[in-house]
Amino acid sequence: MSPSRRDFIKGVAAGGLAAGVARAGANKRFDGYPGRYGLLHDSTLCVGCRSCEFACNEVNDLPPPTAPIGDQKIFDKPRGPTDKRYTVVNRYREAQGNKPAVYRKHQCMHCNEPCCASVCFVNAFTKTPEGPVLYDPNVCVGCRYCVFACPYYALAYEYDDPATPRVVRCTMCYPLIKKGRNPACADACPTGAVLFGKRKELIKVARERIRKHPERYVDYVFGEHDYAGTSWLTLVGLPLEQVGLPAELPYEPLPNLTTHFLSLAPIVAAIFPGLLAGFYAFSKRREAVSEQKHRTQLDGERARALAELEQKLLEAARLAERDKQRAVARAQRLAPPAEKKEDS
Amino acid sequence: MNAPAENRGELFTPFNIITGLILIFGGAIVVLRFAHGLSYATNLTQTTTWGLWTGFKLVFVALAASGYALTTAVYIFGMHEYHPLVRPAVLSGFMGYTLFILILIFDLGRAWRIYYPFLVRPGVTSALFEIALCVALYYTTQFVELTPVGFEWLGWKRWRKAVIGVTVGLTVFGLFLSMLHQSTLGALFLAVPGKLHPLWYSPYIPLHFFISSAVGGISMVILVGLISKRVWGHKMEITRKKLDQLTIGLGKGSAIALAIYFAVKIVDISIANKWHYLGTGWGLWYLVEVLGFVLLPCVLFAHGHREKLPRLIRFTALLTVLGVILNRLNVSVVAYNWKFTIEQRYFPYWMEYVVVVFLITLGVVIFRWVAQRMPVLYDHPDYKGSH
Amino acid sequence: MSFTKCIPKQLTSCSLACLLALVSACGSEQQPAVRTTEADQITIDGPAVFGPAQRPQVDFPHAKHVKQLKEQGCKECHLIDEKGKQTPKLKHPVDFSAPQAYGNYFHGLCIGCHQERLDKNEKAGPVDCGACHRRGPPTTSLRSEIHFDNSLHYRHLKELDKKCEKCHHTYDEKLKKLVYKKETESACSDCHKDVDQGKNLSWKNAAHTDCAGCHVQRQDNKQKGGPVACVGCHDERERAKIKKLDKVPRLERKQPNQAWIHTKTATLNIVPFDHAAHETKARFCTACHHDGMKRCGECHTLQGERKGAGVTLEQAQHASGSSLACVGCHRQESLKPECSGCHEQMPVPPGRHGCVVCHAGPLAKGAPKQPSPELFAEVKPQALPETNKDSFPDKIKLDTGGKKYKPTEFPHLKIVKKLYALAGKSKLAARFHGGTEVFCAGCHHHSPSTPGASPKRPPSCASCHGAKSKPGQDLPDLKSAYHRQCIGCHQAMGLETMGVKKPFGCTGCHKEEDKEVAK
Repeated sequence: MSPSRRDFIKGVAAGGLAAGVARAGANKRFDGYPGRYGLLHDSTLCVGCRSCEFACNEVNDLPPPTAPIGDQKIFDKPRGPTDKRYTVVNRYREAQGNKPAVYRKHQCMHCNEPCCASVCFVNAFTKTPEGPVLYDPNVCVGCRYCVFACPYYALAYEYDDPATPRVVRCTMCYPLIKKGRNPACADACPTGAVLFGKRKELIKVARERIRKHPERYVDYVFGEHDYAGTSWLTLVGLPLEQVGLPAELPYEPLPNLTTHFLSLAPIVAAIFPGLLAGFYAFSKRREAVSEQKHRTQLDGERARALAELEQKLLEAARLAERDKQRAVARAQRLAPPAEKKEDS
Repeated sequence: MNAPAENRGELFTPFNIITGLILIFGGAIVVLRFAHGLSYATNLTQTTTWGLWTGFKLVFVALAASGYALTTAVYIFGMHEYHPLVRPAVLSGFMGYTLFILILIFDLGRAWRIYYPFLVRPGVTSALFEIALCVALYYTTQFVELTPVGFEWLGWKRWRKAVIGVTVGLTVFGLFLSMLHQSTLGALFLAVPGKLHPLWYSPYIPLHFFISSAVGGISMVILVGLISKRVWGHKMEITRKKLDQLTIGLGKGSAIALAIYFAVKIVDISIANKWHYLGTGWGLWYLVEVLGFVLLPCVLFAHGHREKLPRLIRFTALLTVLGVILNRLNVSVVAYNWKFTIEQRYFPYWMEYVVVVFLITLGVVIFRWVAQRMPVLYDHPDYKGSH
Repeated sequence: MSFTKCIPKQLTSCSLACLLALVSACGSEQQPAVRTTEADQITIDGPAVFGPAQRPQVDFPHAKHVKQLKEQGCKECHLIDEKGKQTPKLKHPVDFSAPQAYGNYFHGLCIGCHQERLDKNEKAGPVDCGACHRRGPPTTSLRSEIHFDNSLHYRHLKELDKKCEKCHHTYDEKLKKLVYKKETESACSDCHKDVDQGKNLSWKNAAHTDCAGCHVQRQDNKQKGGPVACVGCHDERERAKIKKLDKVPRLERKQPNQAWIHTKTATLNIVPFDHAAHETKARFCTACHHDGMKRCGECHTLQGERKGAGVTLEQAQHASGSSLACVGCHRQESLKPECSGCHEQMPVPPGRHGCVVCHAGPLAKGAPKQPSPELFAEVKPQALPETNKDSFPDKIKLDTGGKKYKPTEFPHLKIVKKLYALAGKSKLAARFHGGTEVFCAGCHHHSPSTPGASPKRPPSCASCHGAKSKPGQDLPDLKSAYHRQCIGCHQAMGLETMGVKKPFGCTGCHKEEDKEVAK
């Protein structure tokens, strides 16, 4: 049956539409929402005063840090963000003679492609157009996959709370940003080691600082492209590993590692039932075939057995007949000569 | 466990006492955990947030694969000689998933919101979402697969007939769901390349998890068969001799599966050129896991199948199950955050161990309750030979 | 369980043992300690072209062998040339033809000698592989090069009665031999390069032949001499023991006292250069004359040439990162603790106001042959202005309107006086700072500072630094500007502040605000 002209035109139109849709969704790059904010942390300017920790705790209604400003013992052990402090300053090298100590502030990086958002199975995280990644405690089930997956160990969980435990982290002071103000840490930092502004501008500033003081900085802006980039950019004076940052991170966003695998699920869903049904049918057919063969074999056997039986019966009958004849003959041979007397 | 299980009338058998104590003590700890929060019962830190309980979530699911393994073998690949083992396998699988769900509930921060991913806000980019969905569906499937047992016990003939009719469909659905969620449990770890030791981390983790679950499942069937025969020997329909035969057959399947698993591991190391890690301390531990608990059982299974040694196969099944447990715990707890110093590392709190033991005991107790009353180990006389 | 009957006993016990051994060895990932080799130890390791070696490198303890073979002397291993002079070369040249040959060479040499001695029942080194090819983490050598400086050179000069020909020579191409030409003395490394070039020994061999050879000779003659052990020259700690003279008379080589620095096509004012004054400041001639006693312009041309390694003349004088260039060396000086408070925070390409300090001469056309002495007169620092509440205050109240801390009183005059005194001690600083305006620009940056053309009072910080930072222009807010300036200066000069050895908290500089006021 040949398709009619109308059918042909319909087919072409449908195909063209599909191709158009496919082209629209194919391989476009998303550089992030334009005009989004970021923060530049110049760790060479950080003097370890921890004013940012105090300011952050105050803004988020947390108790102030126990160690006062200027306390050096707090730096003896490296610390990470917890449910009682969303940001920490760590010391990575002690002061040596004239060389000051090396500090760096750590907190949620507000990634461009946040892993926490990708792995949350209730979509509790949202990447806002302004830059911060927000968390919704109203849907969180407390599985803590986000805490598990974050490559920067930036998230914390309220283990002590039995009824309303939340995942907590730096929020980039989103309410303040919306009002046009700076995040608390940026305002609190006395040396301006935390600078808040448009991410694009901050990258330019960072590059310019590296150009002007090449002996002061490592020629790398951390967060520009790492795992597709973060909102927090960091300038460092020591190699990344020495200040507790992961080095040589790929450009590809971290969630891609999982989504590449998950994209197989629909394909499996499409193929496998059919495949398994095929297996089943195959095994059933094999059973049926072997059953058939078995039956044919049985029939054959039976027929042969019957024929054999008949043969045996005939043979037996013949033998019986022969025996009878023999018996008769024998009897005749042994018969008395009485019939001869009658003759003379 | 050597005491005959026919003490139906007696409540205070040694077995009951011991398990009862464990259940009471464990239950108390569970209650306290919910009353005081996770920090009360666990040693979880902000940098290691998934601990022993998550490790055992993976273990329970991996060993619960006995369900799909055996139903696939019997109903799809047509190996009907294993039919007597289907029900114990599915029941132990079901128990495994029950334990998984229970330990998940204990581990979640807000377990009462467990239905949120389905009804409130699905997060479809998440591997955990796929796992949740598949497990929920699979649990239902397994439950439906087990309903004939209940129906036979209750005598509801029509219901039973209806369910038996869709067995193959359920099996197909079950296998497809199992493939997905067993491998996706491995895919959970794809998101942490920097935190999981390179020897255990691989883009092929999902494949590793799926194959090792099949392996674990088959070995669990062997073990369940062994234990059931020992405890309820007289009740179990299948003869010792037949069970041995089936065990040997399962041993062959296990050997093949383990061989494939081992090959996959070798290829994985070659592709990423991870050979140099084998010379480190972690490498030795990895070799212990792969050589001692994958290659060795494979060889022993093959040997046992060839020489028809059911006892060897049972021992090897135990070894394999331990190997699967080791693998799951390695991936989730031991080799995770491998770069941490001793001070930074997580070590489980004693209460976490108690809860795990509590759950395993619970699983055994429920399995025992069902198996003693319902036609799991034997065919119901009304339906003998009809399926 | 009786199933163990099925498994061979050996397999069980073997696998269990292996398991235990493996498990016990796990987790033992310790960080390897860094191994250092002493200055006298020579690393014998195949050249890179041979590829990865089967065995680790050998760290040959030279000093130990010298001690053991004292009687036999250097000639036991080292070649004596046709003239009877001891050379540092080995008796037989090293065989680099193939890895096997290379290995055999050393094995024959070392193990051969050791075995010989063992046969004679003498104390000897090892003969087994692992004792020399020691396994362990990679090594870093403590050996460092020795460099001449004015003091060391003068001590040699004095000891050898100013006979330069004892060490210095040049090679005459026509006569095909070494001759001594007065006033052409230069550094050894000008001719003696990294490897032997025919009869022209490598720098290493030449130094060991002449320097070490002479020291050994003097030791044999019971004369006072330099070190003979490797560590004496090559170990930092031993080198520190070498006596250093404070005042060294000027090296006489008919070098100019003052000269012009200029090039033919120069259009800017040419530079009067005080060679004599710089000689006292530099470590040695080679600090500037790094490739022969030549003028910069001989190799570094305007456009840049191969003989100058592509470095243009401009870069040779002005490169701020290299201590071989004028500007670079001056920058090094400015990074000393007493100066770095201001200079460390200045961006690396220098400000333009400094050009005229060096380019102080006349135009190239018509300039006299020699610069006149007035150009080199010491510049006396200008006197500080009178303390004035408006233009040069004693104390300044720094108030950014912050709520947490009280405003602080900045001791402006005290700090300026202190820094001025420090700068006054340096002739270089005095010359460059010139008037006070340049000096003030150390803190009052980005403000007009050309002497004579500036207003009386530099702008205050708050003139440019507002309450909010301007991220796009990288302009910090006033609070950040104050802290960066103050803390940065204290850190660079090694004073008490945040982030250094004995830090004080914020209250070290400003008191905390009273709680009621803060609210």
